[in-house]
Amino acid sequence: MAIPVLAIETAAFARMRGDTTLQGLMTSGSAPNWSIYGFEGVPINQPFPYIAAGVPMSQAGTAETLSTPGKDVKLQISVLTQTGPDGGFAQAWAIANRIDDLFNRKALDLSASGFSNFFILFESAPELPQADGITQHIPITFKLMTQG
Amino acid sequence: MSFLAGYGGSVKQGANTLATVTDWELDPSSDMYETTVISGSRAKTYLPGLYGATVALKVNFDATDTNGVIAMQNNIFSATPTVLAFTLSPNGGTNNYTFNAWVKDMKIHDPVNNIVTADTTLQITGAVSYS
Repeated sequence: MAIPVLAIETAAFARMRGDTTLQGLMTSGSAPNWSIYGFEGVPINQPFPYIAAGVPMSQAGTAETLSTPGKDVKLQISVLTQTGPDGGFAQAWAIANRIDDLFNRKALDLSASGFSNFFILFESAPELPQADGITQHIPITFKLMTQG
Repeated sequence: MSFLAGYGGSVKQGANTLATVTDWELDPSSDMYETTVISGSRAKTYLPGLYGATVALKVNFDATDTNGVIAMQNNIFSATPTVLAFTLSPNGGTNNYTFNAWVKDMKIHDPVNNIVTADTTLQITGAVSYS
């Protein structure tokens, strides 16, 4: 028994970093990270756009059975952009839309970590202008159900 | 005193532990024959008669679970169903209710934003033993 946070983040990063369409949208990035970060942290002075992903919530699971533990997990993928001719919320939504294509209703393969994920569903994506007036933030949240 | 945590329970069909059960409820009950006679008393009297039971199982639907939910579903759909043997335990096999049962009904439920479930009722046939 364990909590599948690291397994989910690892699988999510692999899916995003391996997608050539998302690579093309991450104009500040290059292989292998493509300006997509998570548990290793975002580098200081990271240029925009970038993605910061994490698992802010894991809790008792809908898929808990008498024989197998289950965890429900929120996967949050934050898209951050800055104002500019190719930036702003237009760029943020282009990246966010690709992330939705990559994750909504497309379960992660967590088998290498001993977990299974059979349910992943879009939950929210608020548009959040930041206090500095030039940074845009869209945190996209997906709900996952896991067992293991 | 030793209370039991629900997650310690188990359900077996034959020798196979059902892997997708989230809840079970056994409801044995006995018929009560009224034996009240005209007397000076206002109190009714009864004699216990036949007993029987059903089991309500809450199950997550898994199409690959051939020994569990699919076996129970086949008990309804089969042209020649055979009675199934079950063992329910509230404490991982230390104490057990054992009985034979038919699958009386299933409610297979597929909500768009949640897990697919198959709530199932077992009609017990014959005696229930507890050990």
